[in-house]
Amino acid sequence: MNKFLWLRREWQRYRASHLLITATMVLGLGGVFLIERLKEAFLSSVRSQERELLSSDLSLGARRPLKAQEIERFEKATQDYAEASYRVIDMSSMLYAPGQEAARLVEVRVVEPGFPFYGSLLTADGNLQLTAEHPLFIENCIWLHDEAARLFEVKVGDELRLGEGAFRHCGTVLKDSTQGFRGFALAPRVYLGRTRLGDTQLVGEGTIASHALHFKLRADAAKVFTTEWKEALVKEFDDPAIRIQRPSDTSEQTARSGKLFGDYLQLASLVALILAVVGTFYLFRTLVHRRLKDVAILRALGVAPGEARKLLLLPLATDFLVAIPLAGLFSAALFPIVTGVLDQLFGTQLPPTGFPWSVWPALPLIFTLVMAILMPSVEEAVRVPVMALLQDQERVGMVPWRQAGLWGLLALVSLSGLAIWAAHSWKIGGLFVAGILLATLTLAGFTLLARWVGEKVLRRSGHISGIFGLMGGLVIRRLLRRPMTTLLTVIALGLGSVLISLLGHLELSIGQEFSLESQDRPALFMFDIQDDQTEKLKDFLAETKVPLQALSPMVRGKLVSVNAEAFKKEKQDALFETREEENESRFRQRMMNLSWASGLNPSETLEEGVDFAEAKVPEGEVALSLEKRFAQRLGIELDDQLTFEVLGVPITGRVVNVRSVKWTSFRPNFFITFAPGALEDAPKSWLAAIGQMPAQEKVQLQNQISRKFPNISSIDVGQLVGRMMELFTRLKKALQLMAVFAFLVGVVVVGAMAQDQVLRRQNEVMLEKTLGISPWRVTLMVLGEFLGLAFVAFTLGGLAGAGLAAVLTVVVFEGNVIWSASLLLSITLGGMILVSIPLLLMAKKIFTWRPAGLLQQP
Amino acid sequence: MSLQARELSKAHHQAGNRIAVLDGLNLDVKTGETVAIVGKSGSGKSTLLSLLGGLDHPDAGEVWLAGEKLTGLGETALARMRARRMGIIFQQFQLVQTLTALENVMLPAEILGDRDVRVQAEKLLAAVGLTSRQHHFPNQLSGGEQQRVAIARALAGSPQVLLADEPTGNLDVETGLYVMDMLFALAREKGTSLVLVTHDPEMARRCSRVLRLEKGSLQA
Ligand SMILES: Nc1ncnc2c1ncn2[C@@H]1O[C@H](COP(=O)(O)OP(=O)(O)OP(=O)(O)O)[C@@H](O)[C@H]1O
Ligand SMILES: [Mg+2]
Repeated sequence: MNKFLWLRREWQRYRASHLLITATMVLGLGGVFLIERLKEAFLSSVRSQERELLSSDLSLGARRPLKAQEIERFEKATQDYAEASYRVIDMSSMLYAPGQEAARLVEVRVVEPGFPFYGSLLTADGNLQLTAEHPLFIENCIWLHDEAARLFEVKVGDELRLGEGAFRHCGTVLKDSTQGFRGFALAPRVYLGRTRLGDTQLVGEGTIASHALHFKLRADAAKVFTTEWKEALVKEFDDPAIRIQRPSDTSEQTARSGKLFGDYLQLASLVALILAVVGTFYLFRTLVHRRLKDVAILRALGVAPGEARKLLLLPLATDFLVAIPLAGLFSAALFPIVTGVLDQLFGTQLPPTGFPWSVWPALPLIFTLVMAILMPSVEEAVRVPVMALLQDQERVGMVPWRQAGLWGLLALVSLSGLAIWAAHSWKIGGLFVAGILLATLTLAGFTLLARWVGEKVLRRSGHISGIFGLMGGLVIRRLLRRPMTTLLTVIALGLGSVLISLLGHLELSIGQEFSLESQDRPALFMFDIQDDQTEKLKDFLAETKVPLQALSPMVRGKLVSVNAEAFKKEKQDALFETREEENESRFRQRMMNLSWASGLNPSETLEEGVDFAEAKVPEGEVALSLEKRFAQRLGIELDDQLTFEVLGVPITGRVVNVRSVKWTSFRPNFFITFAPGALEDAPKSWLAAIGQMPAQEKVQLQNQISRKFPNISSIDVGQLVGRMMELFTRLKKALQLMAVFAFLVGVVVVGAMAQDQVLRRQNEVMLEKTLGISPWRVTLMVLGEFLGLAFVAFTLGGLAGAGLAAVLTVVVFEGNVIWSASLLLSITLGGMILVSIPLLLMAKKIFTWRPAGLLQQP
Repeated sequence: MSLQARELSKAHHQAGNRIAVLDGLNLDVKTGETVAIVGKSGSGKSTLLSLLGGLDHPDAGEVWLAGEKLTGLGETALARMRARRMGIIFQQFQLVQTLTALENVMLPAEILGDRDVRVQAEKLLAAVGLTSRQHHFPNQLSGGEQQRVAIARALAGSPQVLLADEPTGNLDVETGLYVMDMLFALAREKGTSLVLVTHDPEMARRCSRVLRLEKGSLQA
């Protein structure tokens, strides 16, 4: 048979069905494409800024002062190409504005002349040109980023104190191209000349500051300083504290958070895709059933099953192929709207992108998923009993259970592949699929059970009329006896509302967790307290009658071996790196913060093992306590022996317990805590907290502390929490956008299904009218059926979302579960209103169909 | 007089063309009488039945059922009238797919608000010989079985008139005869008038009168 002729006929005869199928797939694919577009745009915008973010071509950095021999070695490795260099030091510190009586934490960027090689510090009078004669280096000047200037409400010329030094506010930087996306900055930036750093006396033992040496390289240097070159040098340094960065490395870091967020967006869009697949399945299955007779005739005429299969699948594959470019266009149309919203939320302008080619690994997976889901319907049709044709009965063939199972398995595998592709994480992708599977199976089980129990009850009943009268009885029978339609409708409507409810409830419980009134949270969090300042600080606070809480030491060290085996992992180049792999390698290269304590603090809970007091460890070892998730990620277990190196001195400990930490308590907490006796002599700084107090006193105290102990940084916890909440809310809004998209796709799919159902029910509707049920009632029954289903779906979906949020809240955020009846109610009501729209459009048709049509059928 | 049609006219409109189907047609069916209507395909037999059953509105003329004028009634009133007084049997059986055989038969009485319908429905199903299939769904029944359920359903509301449009058109000859035997027997037993559209001269002959539909009106 001529394939093209067949295709053309097919499209002519079933145009509406194919249009709906294609449209549904365009919606589903469009969401995925859109997110891919956003990710690509984000990455390309980051990449285009990467040199500006680093400000140079190459840098050597560490979270401590660089040693002379390190600098020497690095300079030697680059000497043939280096054109110029400068140093940059970044640290957190308190900035005090005496005129405003305001002390706040700021990020101090200490620069040298020539900064930045690339990018700019934009002021009202153009870009800053930082020559050696610039006031920043020869006067007592500090430049403030606009955000800082606003925070302190200072004018140019006002006095500012940083550490022990007195400065003037010399100017405002409006835009700093070396700063990442502003949505993620916790403290505003200020600029200090390197020549003035001594005045502040800020850089001392224990103060955490990042030191970096930046180079401008000759234009032809790129081919020399390759990834291999970098890796060799990193190996040569053999020190996890050392970081060598090229522009692409900075963008990698900035991109990481964006990518992570993009992954969650992509998962939300997968939900929309799944709904579209559900819709496609429904529409295609209907189409196949409408053509059973055609297939039976073809089979009777001697067409082989394989050929019949092809004839059924060909139009569908064509729909899919047509949908891909259309989805590309659709996502292009949505792109400016969504980037507009993102710009509003995060202030990031994303450049327009072309077709998102990065989506290609997903396309075969999506295609496989669609095919695997549709194949059982095709098989049913291909195996249609030809005899049924003679009996004027439309009966589908039986698909062997094993074969259907195999298709199901293939669908599951391709869905898992998609989820892992979207999440870049085995765990999150797996959880996602498990969640979808669980929800589907639960609903399917529930539907089958209802059908089974319902049928028993209905058979026993002496009449059709149920508690809701004859109409109720008829509707209940329709729902129970068309279980596939019922199930698909519930899934299509339910999944979207799961997402919306999940996000809404998460926001509520996280909001409560971080709510500003929380009593157990300290007012101030302090760090960079020097060894010799702890007593003075205590005395000072005793005078002001505020007790110092949770004074905790912090020592920096690196983990060198686990159970006497070197703790190191060669990082391979992986084609498809998942987030788990990335996390692990990041942990393994990092300097870690160590502390000691005599036992657990109030925000910690023992999960496994025993308290330090009861622990027995071998000679020469110290008892160690690890945070639960940290231990999990590193694969360390109870009783493992860990060796750390602190300034070259090895210290061996044994894990005697694993504890969970309530991080939202905002008191000093550590992944690794030693029992007393091992770290006391190491160089260290201290962290501490100060309990709740009235806002006014808090500001005063913060000011007093920063005047008396200029090097000690203190964070207003309430303010920090506010910023975190704000960021969280923005992220949530962006995700919610996607959830609403999925929800709408669900509604559109159900609209399409309802449209098809109503047409297929023309007969039923006319028959009921013929038998004497009034047109009003007939119409009400169809509306009631769908609205009833929608009610069940939205309510179940809302509850499931709330349940998921509860699980996440307890397991991940360790907070209190919140149920919001009003949120659930508004999801259900809002959804019902949306679903009513396509239904009401069809109601008129149902109402006016003349029953005479029953007599005029061929 | 049970069913009367006076000067019925009906035209269909298709793509701008007016196809006159019925033109000043008159019909009187007495209570308990069986009338066969024959005629060429496309002569308007189904159109006539749909007007008699109040499933469609005539362009002109009137239909009376037991002294009540149907023409001019609203859809809801017509529906109520059909439920109370009429049973319709189709060539394509037209059973409600989501109801079992028994439920299909119970439906007409329940539409009239009667709740105690099971016993009567079971009796009717027994009368058409389908007691053992009462919990089966239409797609689990053969054509002949479906039509027997449809007959039982048509009689369930104790109608005054049965309208049947080629009830055996989709059945083989033997099954057709068997089904028609039942239809005639039950109609006689209940004293119901029957208007039967058929192509089969054998069936037509079993009716008390045979009318031919030609050029829009009926001839004896
Ligand atoms: N809805 C309609 N729109 C347009 N024309 C119609 C419609 N219904 C019927 N017709 C036309 O009216 C005429 C009569 O149709 P009807 O179905 O009443 O004939 P019939 O006698 O029942 O034929 P058959 O024996 O084939 O069932 C036919 O020419 C048919 O094409
Ligand atoms: Mg006809």
